[in-house]
Amino acid sequence: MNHRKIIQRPRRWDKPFSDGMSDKNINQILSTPHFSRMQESDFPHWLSLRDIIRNDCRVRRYRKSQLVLNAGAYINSAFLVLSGSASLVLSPGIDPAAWGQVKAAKPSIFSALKKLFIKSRFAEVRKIGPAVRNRLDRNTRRRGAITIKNLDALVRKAGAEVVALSPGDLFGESAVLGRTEMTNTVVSNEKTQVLEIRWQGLRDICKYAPDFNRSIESLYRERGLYEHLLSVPLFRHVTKEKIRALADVAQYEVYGEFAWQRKFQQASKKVETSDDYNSLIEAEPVIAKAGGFADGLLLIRNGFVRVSRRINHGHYTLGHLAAGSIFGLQELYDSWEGGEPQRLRCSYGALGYADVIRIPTHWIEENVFAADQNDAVQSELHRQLDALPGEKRKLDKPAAQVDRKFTEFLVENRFVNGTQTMMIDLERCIRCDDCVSACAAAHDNNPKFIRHGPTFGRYMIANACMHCDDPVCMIGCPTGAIHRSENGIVSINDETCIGCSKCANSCPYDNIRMVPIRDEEGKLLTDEKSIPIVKATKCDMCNTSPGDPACVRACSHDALTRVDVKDVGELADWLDR
Amino acid sequence: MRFLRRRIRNTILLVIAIALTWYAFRIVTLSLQVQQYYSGWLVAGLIIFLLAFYVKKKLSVLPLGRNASWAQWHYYSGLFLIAAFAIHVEFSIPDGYVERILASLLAIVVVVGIGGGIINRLFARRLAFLNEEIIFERIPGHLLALRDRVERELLRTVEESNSPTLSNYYDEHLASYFSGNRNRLAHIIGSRQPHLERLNDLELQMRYLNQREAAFAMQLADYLEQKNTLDTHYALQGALKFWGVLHAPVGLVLLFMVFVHIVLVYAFRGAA
Repeated sequence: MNHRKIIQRPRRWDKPFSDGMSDKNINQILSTPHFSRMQESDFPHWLSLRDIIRNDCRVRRYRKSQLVLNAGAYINSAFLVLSGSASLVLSPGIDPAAWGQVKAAKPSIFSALKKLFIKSRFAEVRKIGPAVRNRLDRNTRRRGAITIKNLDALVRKAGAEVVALSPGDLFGESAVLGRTEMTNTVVSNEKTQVLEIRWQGLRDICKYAPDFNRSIESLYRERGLYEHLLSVPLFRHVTKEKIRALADVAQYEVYGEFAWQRKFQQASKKVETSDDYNSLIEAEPVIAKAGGFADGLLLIRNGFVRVSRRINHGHYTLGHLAAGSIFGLQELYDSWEGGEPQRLRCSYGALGYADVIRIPTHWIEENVFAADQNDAVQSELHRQLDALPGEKRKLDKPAAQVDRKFTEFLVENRFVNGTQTMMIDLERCIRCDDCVSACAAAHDNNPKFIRHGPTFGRYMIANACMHCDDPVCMIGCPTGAIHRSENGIVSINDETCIGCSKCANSCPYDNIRMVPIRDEEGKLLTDEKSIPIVKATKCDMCNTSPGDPACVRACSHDALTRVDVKDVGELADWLDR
Repeated sequence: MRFLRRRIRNTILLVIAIALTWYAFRIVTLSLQVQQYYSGWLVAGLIIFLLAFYVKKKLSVLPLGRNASWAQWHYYSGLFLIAAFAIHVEFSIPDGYVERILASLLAIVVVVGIGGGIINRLFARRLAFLNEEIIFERIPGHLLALRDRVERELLRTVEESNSPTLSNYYDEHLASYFSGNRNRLAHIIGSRQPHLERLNDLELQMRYLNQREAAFAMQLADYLEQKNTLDTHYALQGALKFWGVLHAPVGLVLLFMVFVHIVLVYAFRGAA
């Protein structure tokens, strides 16, 4: 009996982004402002512009007042207005509850029952053949658009600023390039056509169309900078005019590498002694050094920053700061108040990669510290000073409920990136593997994690996808199969995964596995050279099952949790349960 | 602290529930009714509820709450069941055949259950203190790899040292030790005696070894340590996995006997 079945090895564009991109559509897109300036001859023959448009783009149509993008959602594409117009509502934005938006429908109990009774007899079974249609396109069509009838009133009520988008305008580029959530809401003003460009296509276009690349980068920096400043809580009560003026003087700085995981993977394997560890920290890009004078207020836009202090010959990690945090405020305020320049108390280094915005000292003194500022600005300042993480307070009063050594372990191994990190208390875990069995039961008998991983004392960080804040696994995916759902869950679209292993190799935590797949008769699927066809697999937070993730639900000993490591309170609560 | 507070709160609630139950059945008795009819149903209901936990564990894909919460209810309901059963039999030893079987089955379930609860806590903690975390199913593989490595290096040592002393010693004393998991009971009770004896024995051999063999003997001591860790994992994880095997099946038999008991009680009700 033959135990193999030969199929064609999947390729990048086997499943295009949309089924409906005709030559007419492509010609129409090529005549739009950005595309008309591109030279088709600049693209290699194996990656032609037409092919990119055909396979990595799709046209989405909206009627008047329909929601195009929602603030807070994670996206995997940038958008270009083809016709009509739309409104981009800037921070503080409008409350999604205002239009009665419902959360994404949870899978029904019947789908769970089906999983209970209908299971494959073999591991990693996949349906193959032409019957599998483009799920991405199907899901988009199925999900009804939300209509916002009273946008003007909502904008007025929120005091939000609106930017008009017309044909040729891009949006969503900031979120997709920065791997962050959308900070704006976009609503169509009339019948509007929008081109959605999948991140993979966008990356390739940027590579071969330098003008387009420059437009995207300048938008990412300029509009993104202003939008980010609007969303900073410290400036909540500062007038928009002053924020606009700040956007002109604020400096945008990038530390480290966007694809930081490569260096981290290489370096972390070499760490054996404390000297190696210190060298690792010293190799991190320094943003500000302890003992130096604070040169402006620093806001973290993307990435993570290590807060450390040098003690004798070693570096002591006090904690980390994530996107949205600020540092240097205490020192600047003390300098301004006391009239004597204050030195920074801690060092700040990029944990792999960090986008930082530097606010000039004079601006912050004039517009935030100055006594003639209105009460709201002053009270927000004092609220921020009281709540500052990682600065004086952290040194003087170790109030952090999480053991410092444990914090160091989490920072050192970059586990701070995880929003759904699987943590196991080994003093409670009885190694029954109920969590693994439950995971398998929820995924057609295929467990999506391994109950194994780095440990610190009694805690283990299991090899389960952490659904990172900065999912570097997505960077190299050629098809967009690994993507982030609107709610931030990093998922793999099995239909478009071509088994290239880029995500698995990029994951710094070894949480993605490549598995050989089989057909429904249990035959191993191989290509003509008898090389097995593989697919990437990882935890999906049971997003196709109702309720909590199966692993958490299955643990009878309260030994396992999924935790957002950034949220020290949540982590401390669980550790001290 | 919060763990302790929770335990204290739950224990107080359990004691109150037992006291109220006892008092309620006292009133039933004082009103000249047979309290066993009521307390019997309470015991039967509790057994069904306790067994429901095992059904729930099998239905992990259904959103029926967290097993950790169910487990807490299971533990405290189990303790409550002991008290309810004592009230039901009026703190006496049952005298009928069916009743004795019932009481024995309940005793087995309770002992296995409480014993399981204790070893869960103790062994999990002891496993956490070990240097390495090893998956139970992978232990035979690790064992095989370790034995292969030891024997390969031993052969090389014999070739290089031209002396069979160490290999003879290995054949006589250590080959069977490396061939499988050993000293399960010692590991369960937390004794390192067999391991220390083996290390001591190896050290006594040192005087008979040449320089090359002595170097490998030092390495062998490390391998013995690794083997000991594998054995500890095997013994403790094995106990954790298989201790509770009887709990649910005996519970099911108990439920069946309860059913028989109820049928008999109601069939012969008039004779009472």
